[in-house]
Amino acid sequence: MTHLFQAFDITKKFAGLVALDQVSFHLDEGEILGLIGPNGAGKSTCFNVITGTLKPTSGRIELREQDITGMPPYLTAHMGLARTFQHTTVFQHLTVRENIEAACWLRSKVGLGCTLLRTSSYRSSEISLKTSVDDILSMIDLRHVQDSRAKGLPYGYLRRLGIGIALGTNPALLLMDEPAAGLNPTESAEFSKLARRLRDFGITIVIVEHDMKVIMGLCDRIVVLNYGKKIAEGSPGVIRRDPQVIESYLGKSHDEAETARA
Amino acid sequence: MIRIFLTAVAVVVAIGAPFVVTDLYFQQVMVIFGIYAIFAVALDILFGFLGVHSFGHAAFFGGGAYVCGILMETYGVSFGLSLVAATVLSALLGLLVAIPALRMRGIYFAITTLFCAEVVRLIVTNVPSVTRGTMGLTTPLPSFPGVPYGYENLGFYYLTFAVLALSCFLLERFRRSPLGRSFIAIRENEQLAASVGVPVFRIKFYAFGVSGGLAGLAGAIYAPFIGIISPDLLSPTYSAMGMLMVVVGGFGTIYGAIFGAFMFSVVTEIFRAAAELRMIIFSALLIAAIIFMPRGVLTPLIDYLRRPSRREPAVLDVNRKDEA
Repeated sequence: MTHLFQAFDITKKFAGLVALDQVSFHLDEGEILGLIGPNGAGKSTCFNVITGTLKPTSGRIELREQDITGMPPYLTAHMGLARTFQHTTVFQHLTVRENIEAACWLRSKVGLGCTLLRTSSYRSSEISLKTSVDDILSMIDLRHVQDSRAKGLPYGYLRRLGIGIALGTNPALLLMDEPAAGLNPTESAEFSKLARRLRDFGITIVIVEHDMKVIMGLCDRIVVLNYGKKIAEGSPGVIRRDPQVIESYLGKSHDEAETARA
Repeated sequence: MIRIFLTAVAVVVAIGAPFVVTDLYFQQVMVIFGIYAIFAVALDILFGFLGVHSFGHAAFFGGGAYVCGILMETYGVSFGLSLVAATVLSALLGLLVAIPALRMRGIYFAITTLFCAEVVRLIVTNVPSVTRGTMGLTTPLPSFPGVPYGYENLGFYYLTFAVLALSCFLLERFRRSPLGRSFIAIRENEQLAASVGVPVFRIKFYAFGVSGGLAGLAGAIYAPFIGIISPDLLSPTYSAMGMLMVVVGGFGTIYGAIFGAFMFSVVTEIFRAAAELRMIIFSALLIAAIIFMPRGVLTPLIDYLRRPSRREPAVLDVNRKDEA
């Protein structure tokens, strides 16, 4: 069976530090995969290697059986890979609507000439763009603030806007870097609902997250990293009972659990 | 509606102005304003749209002036053809500068562009056989079709403002298109723009070419209008002049740049008698603008008028939603 996404033995070294050590995993279409591990386990490096922000030292990454190893981020976006950032990363000085419009670069396929001449193809693409933006705004439930500037919106809104920007590329695979960080329980629950809605929409999702409640409730499968190595993989039920995972998070039984809790 | 009305008023005023203002001196000031405005608009493509701060745009302005001047004076090429050649060559020069400069960030980018311009200035200064070096190059007065001898000011005036109007029209169209919004996305957050598929480097690269070409065109009109050009035109003073116009006027709006050019040319003329004092006044203006109006004189005003809609504020919405 062919997978939507596959990472083969990706290794990333920073000078002497091995941030990722032969990590392999795959994704099937319509899956929600959790990527967890204690602080410094290599989760963010893994993200950056997949999206092309960092080049892996060795290994191979495939999306829909096409090699995307080392492609710069704007090209991986072309391949159908979108990401959100750890901190609220949006276009601060634009309105919510403009934020999404700016992110729809890949959806509008009209060139400079058509734009300057306002040809009919430009106008029709403008209309279809408007519909896509409306759809995304409804999806992330921000239509009621579409004309407000991003700067000054509440934190929870900005996180959703960040997801909306990623959706602008019409991705097949969406990587979310700590999407629930800093959200209150209500907002986290709302986020989980949104993630499921996106999955139902046909988007495969990878989540890096510290909030175990979100991860356990949302993910179909979990990959656990520790010191750059994959130490476990499986359903939330399996991961919860995995002795190695418990050890990496809580330390050995005679250690102080408190100090190791990340 | 307001936009169409304002545009119509501007067009009528621009066409009618030289018939009302028949004084040669004032006509010249208007042409200089128009040329500066084109230069400022060219710079605004980089400053305002992309957040790329070129410190060496004199290279393109002066470069265009020299290409036009040399072609007309030494080779007897027609004015029209010289304009085209100057634009194309300045655009190529822009692309050439962009290759090393765009690999730099922040202050290093500024330094690279600054010194690329210095390189061009030194080359022009040191090949007197072609450019006549520091002696300066005189350029012949072109004849404009349909404009009688002695009324060249009118020819320059309409040429300048036609170029200015066309570039504003195209840029304004571009700014409000999806392609233009991606430009703004780069200015706002480069990394995020790349993550949604915007080819940041390529866009900046071409924008440098377009901006350089337009600045070169401004210079190419400037050369025969003034009649004599010297390597001073390539000095950092002229780069600073362009930045001053864009920063004081307000970047990212096109009109801000034009307004800045207007202020600059008017103030220059008012203080023509006190040339040294002029730079002090400009410096004071620039400092004041940066402190009190970091977004320029015109940009905040335009933003206010352009506010999409003045619905209830977002904060109220938030409260309502949380209660529900």
